Amino acid sequence: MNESVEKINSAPEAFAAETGAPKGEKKRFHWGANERRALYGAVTAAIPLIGYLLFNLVPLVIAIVTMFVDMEGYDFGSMSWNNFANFGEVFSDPRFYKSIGVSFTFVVPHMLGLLISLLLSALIAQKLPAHKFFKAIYFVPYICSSVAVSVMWRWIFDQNIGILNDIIMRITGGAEGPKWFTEAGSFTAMLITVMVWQAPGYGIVMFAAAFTNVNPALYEAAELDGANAFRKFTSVTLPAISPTIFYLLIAGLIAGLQTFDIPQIFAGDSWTGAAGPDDAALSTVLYIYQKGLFNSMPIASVMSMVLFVVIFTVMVINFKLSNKWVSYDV
Amino acid sequence: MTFKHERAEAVETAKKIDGAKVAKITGKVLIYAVLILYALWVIFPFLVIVITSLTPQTELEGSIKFIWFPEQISFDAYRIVLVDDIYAELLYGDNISSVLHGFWNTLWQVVPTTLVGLFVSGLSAYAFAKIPFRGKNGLFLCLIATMMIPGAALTMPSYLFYDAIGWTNSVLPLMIPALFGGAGITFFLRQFFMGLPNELVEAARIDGLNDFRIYLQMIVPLSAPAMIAQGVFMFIGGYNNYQGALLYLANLPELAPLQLALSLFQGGYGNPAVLCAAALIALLPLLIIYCFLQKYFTQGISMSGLKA
Repeated sequence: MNESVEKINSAPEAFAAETGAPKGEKKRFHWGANERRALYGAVTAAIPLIGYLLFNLVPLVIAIVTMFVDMEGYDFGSMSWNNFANFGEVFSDPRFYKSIGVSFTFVVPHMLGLLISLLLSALIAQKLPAHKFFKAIYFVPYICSSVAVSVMWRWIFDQNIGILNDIIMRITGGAEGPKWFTEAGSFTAMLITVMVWQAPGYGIVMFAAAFTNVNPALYEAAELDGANAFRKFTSVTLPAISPTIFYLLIAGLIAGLQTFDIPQIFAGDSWTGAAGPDDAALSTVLYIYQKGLFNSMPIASVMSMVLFVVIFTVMVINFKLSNKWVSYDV
Repeated sequence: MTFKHERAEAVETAKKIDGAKVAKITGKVLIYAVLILYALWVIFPFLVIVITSLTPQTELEGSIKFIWFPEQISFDAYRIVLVDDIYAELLYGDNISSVLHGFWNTLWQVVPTTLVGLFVSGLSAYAFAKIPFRGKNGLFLCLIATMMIPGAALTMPSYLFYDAIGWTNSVLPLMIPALFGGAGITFFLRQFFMGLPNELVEAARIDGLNDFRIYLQMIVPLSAPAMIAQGVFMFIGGYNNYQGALLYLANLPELAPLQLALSLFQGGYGNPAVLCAAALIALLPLLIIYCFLQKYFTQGISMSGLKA
């Protein structure tokens, strides 16, 4: 026992690679304690991956198959090859292109949220009295559910008796405020406002951790070189936290492109099938949901895969560009 | 005379304050101004719905603009949300309101899956961190790769899959997959467990403990804060999950978790006070938990984000 422990400590990889029975064993298929341990390790380690295989990769394979077929409802028996007709339908659908544009529009609030959280956490990092209190407050929107948030903001934006139009009319002296729910531009502005309210909390917490990890020696060196506060921020802080900025940039892009909840609650349940005025709330994920549930699953599959490719491309471009500005040496 | 003297002294000290100090003070004032303004912006929607939820319906009905200060305060809206929900009889056949039904459904659907999922993720993370076995690196790379696949692209394909195995219109798609643990949490806990000394595990093995018991009796207690932080994070995700519930339970209000119940509820009522009260009540549990477990909320994020 002790011997094997030493072996593990000295060279775990090599030891794990060893196979066969321990010295002196005659039975060929006897499993020693270490083999059993390795098996236990492999099996328990694999559980999350097995779950992912079952519930995500199997559907992915099904989605890839259904892209090329006609199908009645969700009946696999009715599948028949249709010579790429689904692709033709998706790529000639103006609403699909519109939905891609809307999804990219919903990246905007996440990018604004990134800037806001950078600014606020730079201020919080000054460690003035009560800075923790502000940080705690700023995080609250992040834990609020999109349904409750939508209820709150729909009431604030209410065209007739909402508080916002009351404030706007008091300031402008006009008889009525913007038509938030019936004009496409106003509708988009409203959704972006709601998302901007919710977005920065996550970034503030991430940046707060990043700021405390900046090497203080770098600031001292910068001070010796006569750098002012602004220069210290751009030359020391920004490069040091650039991995966090990059992570939040990617996370924001992905979250924006996958937006579903808020557009669905604001505009998803209309009888006409339109998502808000001029489809202003028709994010790709919302469109996929509507197609898949009420229209055609193969079409939804094609759209899902296109969205997949779009998100993946955006990620790859970002990773390529990141070499130019993200520094991992602290 | 003393007054004059004091004044002269004040002028003297004012002169002593050099430009740098003035700049420092104005800087501080500016920082606080921004911080306070942003805090107001965050709190503003909550204030609005608190005001409206307390406004009597009689005042709201006759009004043509927003009521900033109701003449009377009424708790009727809260009574309707919690006790006198007129749709309760229709939807559930009992007198318990939609929102309370939603609470209960969220609890039994989210808490067990969070606990099991967390435990299983940790079990997997322990194996990745402490047990040598062949193919470990490959398995770990696969796990990381799954995190790169955007979940939204798999939502409808999953729906088709669950329909094929007869799971749509049930809670199974919302509960069973979560029991297998998650890649992100496994990844994070692995990083954390790798920081615990190997000697600890080996000493326990010499004492005759197997790996499962080492995980259960030593690793879990030692990493309780990290695990709670991840658990809290999972719970928030489950508590706020709307899309999954909408997909699989939209036709089954008796199983609807809180967020779906809230969205169904708001479709049934036109009274703004009731809607505001419902939103506030739905938000309250997480806000209360947040007040008490604040450090775990933020730790879960700041620890998991950038150890990569």
